[in-house]
Amino acid sequence: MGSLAIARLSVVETLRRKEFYVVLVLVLGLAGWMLMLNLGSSGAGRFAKDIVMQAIWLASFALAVPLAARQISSDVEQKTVYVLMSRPIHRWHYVVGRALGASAASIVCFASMFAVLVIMLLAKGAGSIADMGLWQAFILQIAALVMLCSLAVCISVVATPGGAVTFSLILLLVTRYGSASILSRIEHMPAVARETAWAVYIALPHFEFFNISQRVVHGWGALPADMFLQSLVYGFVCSVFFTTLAAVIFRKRWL
Amino acid sequence: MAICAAVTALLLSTILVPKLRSATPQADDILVQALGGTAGLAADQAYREADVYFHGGNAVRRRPGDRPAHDLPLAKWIARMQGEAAPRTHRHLGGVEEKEILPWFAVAVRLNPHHIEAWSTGSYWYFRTGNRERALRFASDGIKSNPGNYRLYLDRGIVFYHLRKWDDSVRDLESARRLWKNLNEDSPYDLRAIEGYLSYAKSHRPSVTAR
Repeated sequence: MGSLAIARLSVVETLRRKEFYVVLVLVLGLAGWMLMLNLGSSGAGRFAKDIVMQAIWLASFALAVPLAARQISSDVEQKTVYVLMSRPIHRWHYVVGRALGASAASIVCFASMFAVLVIMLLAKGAGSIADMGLWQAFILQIAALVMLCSLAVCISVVATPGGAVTFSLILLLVTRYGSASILSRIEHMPAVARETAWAVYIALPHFEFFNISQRVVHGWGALPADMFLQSLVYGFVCSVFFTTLAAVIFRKRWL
Repeated sequence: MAICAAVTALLLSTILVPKLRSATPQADDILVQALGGTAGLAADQAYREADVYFHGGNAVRRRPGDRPAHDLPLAKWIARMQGEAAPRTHRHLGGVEEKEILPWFAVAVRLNPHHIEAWSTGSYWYFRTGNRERALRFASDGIKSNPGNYRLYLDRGIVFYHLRKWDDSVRDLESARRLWKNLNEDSPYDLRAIEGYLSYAKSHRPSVTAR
């Protein structure tokens, strides 16, 4: 039993729970509403695309964070971890498996909701699904979800599930939506404070690199290929770092 | 004692609830109920979003003197990654695309029916994008929610003026003049607009033209 088998277990467990299906039904309802609703503009394609995209992006984060944060802690609480550890696997296999499982389950949830967006766009006829930017946004969101799951798993090794959820969400929201504003504030700081704040700032996980939804909504086209690849590499490096850190901490943890 | 309390509660709710509902027309709105006290902030954000849409998604307004701190390590790279991810170039929507901003005005006034700027700007944009009936209805709905504000009478009066409905235009512009107050820096200009449109509308009235 290796990391992949544990990851598979996580995906199956997630799909057995009802949260995802409830969110999927809500997203379907929202997309249907946006299709039918006439807010006074015959060509409100951007508005519908924007609202549904933001809802799906946020819902995927909202599902991913608790899912990843409770992977290890619920195993410890329910003593499942002892059953898993009794198999010939290393502890790091277990941590990597749980992080991969949380990521895979989040990707499955996100992909299902994204399918709703694609169907809505096809029905609305407003946004072309041939837009390269839309598919880049899809891939970048997957990268963001993998990074977020690794981060939540890493925090959950040292904190309670509630703490891990809260801290991961704060980091996500602050960097994704407030990063540019923080950067602007750092630029106006006095010398020493500026360099200290900068060191903290670059150490933060930069989720805003993966958010190209406004480019897609307003038809600015796809990201330049080099920027797209750099974002993916950044996400991969951060995910590996957080998972490795979680594995190292968990290896020394007393169960 | 309990029966007395129940009867008093029933009577009070029968008297107070309709009054409360008429004072806050948005109280029954599911969106407003969901957002609670933050509905006003959400309305402001929706109004700002219309501006962002008009500028093609560009939400960045750098202050004069702002310069990216490129001397710091990795600063250039981070600024480029952030800059490319979101629209940063200045452009305006044009033609049919202008209609894309309209839903945000509808959202803003639904969240806060006393958002005069949203009613006023929304009415202007409906008119500008060719939806004259909707512009009139939007301004009329705004007046219903804010009967004491001169600005919406002025807007509807201007729409009537362009529709060549002189009597309606004069009636609204006169209401605007009667209700005018020096509320902000735009108010003196609004007064001049009221006077100007009013004199033109009066001069175009059939009774005046016949004479």
